[in-house]
Amino acid sequence: VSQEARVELDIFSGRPNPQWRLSAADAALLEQKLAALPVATPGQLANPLGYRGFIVQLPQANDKTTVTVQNGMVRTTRAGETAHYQDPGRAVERWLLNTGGPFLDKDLFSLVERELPA
Amino acid sequence: MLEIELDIFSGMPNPTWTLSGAEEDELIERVTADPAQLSPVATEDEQFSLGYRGVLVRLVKSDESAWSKARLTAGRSLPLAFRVGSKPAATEAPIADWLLQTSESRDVDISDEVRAVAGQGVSLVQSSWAAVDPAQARDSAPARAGGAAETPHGPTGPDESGIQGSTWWACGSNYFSANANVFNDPAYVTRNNCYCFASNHLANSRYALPGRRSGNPATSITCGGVSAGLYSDGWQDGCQTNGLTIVLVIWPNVDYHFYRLVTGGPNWWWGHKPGGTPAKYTDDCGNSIYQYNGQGYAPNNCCRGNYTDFCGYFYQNNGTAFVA
Repeated sequence: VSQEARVELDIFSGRPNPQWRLSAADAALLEQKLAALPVATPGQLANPLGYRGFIVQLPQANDKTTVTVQNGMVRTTRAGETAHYQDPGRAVERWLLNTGGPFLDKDLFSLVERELPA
Repeated sequence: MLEIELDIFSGMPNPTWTLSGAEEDELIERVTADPAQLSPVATEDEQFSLGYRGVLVRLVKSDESAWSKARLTAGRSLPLAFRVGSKPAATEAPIADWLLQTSESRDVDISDEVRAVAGQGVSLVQSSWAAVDPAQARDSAPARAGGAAETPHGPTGPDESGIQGSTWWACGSNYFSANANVFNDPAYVTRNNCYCFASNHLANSRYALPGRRSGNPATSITCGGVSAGLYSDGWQDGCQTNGLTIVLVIWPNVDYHFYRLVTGGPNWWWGHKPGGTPAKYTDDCGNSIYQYNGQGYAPNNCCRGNYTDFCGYFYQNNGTAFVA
């Protein structure tokens, strides 16, 4: 299992989605943010063409957690168990976008930014 | 012999029991009356939390039972394993509730607390793609939830002679397969993209690119650049024997996307798979992608987000269409 936390901007259909690595400090901060989120009832993730949210792979001990963040909803999956949370104000989503600032094409960054509430 | 499993625990074994012959007969009646209550045992499209997840039914011993011989109205066999409880019931008697009642006369350890949890039902939002069935002929156009005023390309549409490969409805030898369910299997859904689905190839190549398989990967994300990759991979502009029919659309200079024709007339359904997410037969506005009498949706007029460039139709024998 890779020990790097990686973020994927889920936006493309054919081409590889942009990905970048989270620093250890940012990965720890993300875990804190996730732990503070209110629980939500399970919901369906949408899969439109274009921007769909973020997928984060968080290494933890000998396992990893997959975190999907989309439109105010957060879904975590670890060892086959899934949990759902709210993302009030889409704050986690915006924070993840900002971690990609140094890595993302400017136009792509702006496109996603326009999808998020001001 | 059918085994019933109350799907509710995470660490502990779920309660199970088997149905009597009479109960099996009644289950057949209930399933054939409302098969829409059934869903796969496991599907990427239904995400469950901890707690009640419905009731599973499995044929655990192949025998001369009524289940093995019964057929749905469409002539299909009854499934060997399925879930009930996660989809809405058309009647006031959901199959899951009735199945749970059949445990009461048996020595099955299900506490009142567990029954109360199950009685509250499964919390699950149904997807739009799961609700449409391309195998079923429709005699009206799909309801409009949004999208363009343009009419769909098709046998009754306007002259599209300026569009590459535009006579797809006149091909005499097609390979149709509305098989989104295959590509949405958890083993495949995140490992195959739009080009894999279009080519009907479970390549497990998450980022399959036109032309890569044949050694000439597309060098630009334009209609011309990606089309060159398609031609290199064996796609052509005209009808092919046992042919797949696909459409290429482009988010200019950013990304490509495909649609595949999955049924023939009169409705001509199209399916597509956005990246590593589930394949579906609906567009970004929720419209079912099929047409009736020149009305409805096809790749040319459905909601496509940023994929604004329509590049045309391409054809290849299903037996030679492979990707990498």
